[in-house]
Amino acid sequence: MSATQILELVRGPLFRVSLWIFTVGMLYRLFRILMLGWKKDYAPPRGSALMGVVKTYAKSLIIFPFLPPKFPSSRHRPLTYFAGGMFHLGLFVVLLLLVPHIEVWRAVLGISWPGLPTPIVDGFAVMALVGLVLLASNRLINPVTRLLTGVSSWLNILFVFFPLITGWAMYHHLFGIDYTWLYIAHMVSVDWLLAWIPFSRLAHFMTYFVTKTMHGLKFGRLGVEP
Amino acid sequence: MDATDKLANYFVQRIDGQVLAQLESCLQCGLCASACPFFLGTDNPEHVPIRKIEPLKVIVQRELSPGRRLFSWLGLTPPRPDEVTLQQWVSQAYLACTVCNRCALACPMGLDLGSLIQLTREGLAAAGLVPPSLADAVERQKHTGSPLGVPQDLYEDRLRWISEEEGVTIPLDVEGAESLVVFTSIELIKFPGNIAALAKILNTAGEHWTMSTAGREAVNFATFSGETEEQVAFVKRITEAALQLNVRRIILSECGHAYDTVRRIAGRLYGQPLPFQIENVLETISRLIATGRIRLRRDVFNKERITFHDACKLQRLGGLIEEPRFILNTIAPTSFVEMTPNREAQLCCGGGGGVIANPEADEIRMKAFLPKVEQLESILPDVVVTACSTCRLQFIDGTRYYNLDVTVRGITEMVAEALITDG
Repeated sequence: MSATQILELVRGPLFRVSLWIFTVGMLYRLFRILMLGWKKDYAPPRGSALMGVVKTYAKSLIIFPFLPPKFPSSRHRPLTYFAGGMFHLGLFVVLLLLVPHIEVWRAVLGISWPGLPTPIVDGFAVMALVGLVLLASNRLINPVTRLLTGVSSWLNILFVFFPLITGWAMYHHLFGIDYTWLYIAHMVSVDWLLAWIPFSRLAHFMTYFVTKTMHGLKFGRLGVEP
Repeated sequence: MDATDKLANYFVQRIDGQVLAQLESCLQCGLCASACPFFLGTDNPEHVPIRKIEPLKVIVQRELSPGRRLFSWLGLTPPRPDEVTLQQWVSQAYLACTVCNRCALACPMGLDLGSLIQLTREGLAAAGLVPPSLADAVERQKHTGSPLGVPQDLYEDRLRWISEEEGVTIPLDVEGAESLVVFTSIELIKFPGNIAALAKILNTAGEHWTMSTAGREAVNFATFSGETEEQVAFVKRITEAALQLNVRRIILSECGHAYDTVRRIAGRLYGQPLPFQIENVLETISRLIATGRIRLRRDVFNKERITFHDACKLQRLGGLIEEPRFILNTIAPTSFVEMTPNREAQLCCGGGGGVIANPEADEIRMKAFLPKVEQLESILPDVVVTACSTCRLQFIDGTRYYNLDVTVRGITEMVAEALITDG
């Protein structure tokens, strides 16, 4: 089997299989959450639940780095907040605005949009990588995160790191490895990541919208700033 | 069935989509640490809020997580908790947490950690693991009507004594009154001035009010212990008294958790709209000021520097944020200063959620008060005003322990002091 044939396999059939596992897995998780039902809040409302939702999203999505700036004096906050913001912003730009990725979106969803020039996206990729490395180091340095971090967190970090670093290496033709093999490594790590997400906390990109909405509803209903 | 089985059973039955989504969203980022007075006061990573729901997380990973078979095959599933682990969980959830829910504001995923910790306590209660001092208080409340063990005759005696001592009329069991006022036994025993003060305010306002012998306790120790059946039963004592006396409104005194507990459970029991209004004393006083039914002097407290301690249960979890400010800006317009952070971002005093009732928690309770000491030292007030009797007890203990020259007062008493009574 030649390198080209392997590449065809990992970016063709294998990618499609991963995509199916991802889609079915995520739908299963979403339905499980919805089917288990929500307990109703019976206390008489003191404010608008909807306003709470609007405010909580406005605070966390519009303001960089995606996180509510609630406790400015905290000693544990800055690194996690900024590294987290860097990582997520970088990741989304790479995922959604790199031209070759938009081609993949078009192949999968049938829709496309204009991308950013690759050198700019490259900057965001570096930002994501640096963010991820900082987050990982913080898990080792900070006694709180050291206590909380288990094997599954490390696996998640590793499985997200691979697609990013291989993709970045492809663009820069790094490590003296043949481009086709870098491409294969990139696709294998992407395929693995896609299949892994539904079984892991990386699914938080979806549950985020459930928990954030709940938070906004609860605080809004109380008439308290979320 | 052993304790672990009971715990697992309770969680599996009670976990709904909200809880599951939250548990599956936690990324172990540790940001909740920065919100928690128990962590800030001790610097011990074991007191990070998310550690307090370890029982829920472990049970869900073992019983409900989507990849549990894969993970158990890989050897990544957490082990079944042994006796030692269970005891650690109990200390974390009951001794090192007031369920103040400040962590919910720090969480980037928006997890409502307070309600998850409450659910954890419920599971531990279902497994028979409530710490003895809390379990005893619930028993006392069940049998005598008060967690402090105040039976009906002592209650009546005490009210009569307050009434004579302070020269105020305290109506008891008056059918058809407008408002039923429910105090806590902490006030009855330790802060009787609160009762006299509110009686004076309501009498001056011409409010047709009453107290009740059946519904005489605002405190609900089952909220702290997580015993849901008893919790509802204790709320019913108040709501049924209100229905029986045919009042339009229940007024809950200076108590933190009562407001949230009674509103939530009454809503579940009677549907909406409720057959009566539920008011906290802060709302009552604000209403009486706003409608001109009481008039207050604005110069009584202008020589002292006055600050207000927001209570976790009344402000962040009750939404009563503007009321105390309205009141204090009326009676102390020039001398009222805010602590920072305040309002919904307030730092909890570290005494609520049953912590203060647990002698085992005494040491950590004082450590959890440390962030509050820093706050006080940055503005150096003469008087700290609270609207929650537990906060008040904690502040009295804490300021004494750390040698702070601060007077701790209840807001009702201060309003009564500023009250203008004609003739």
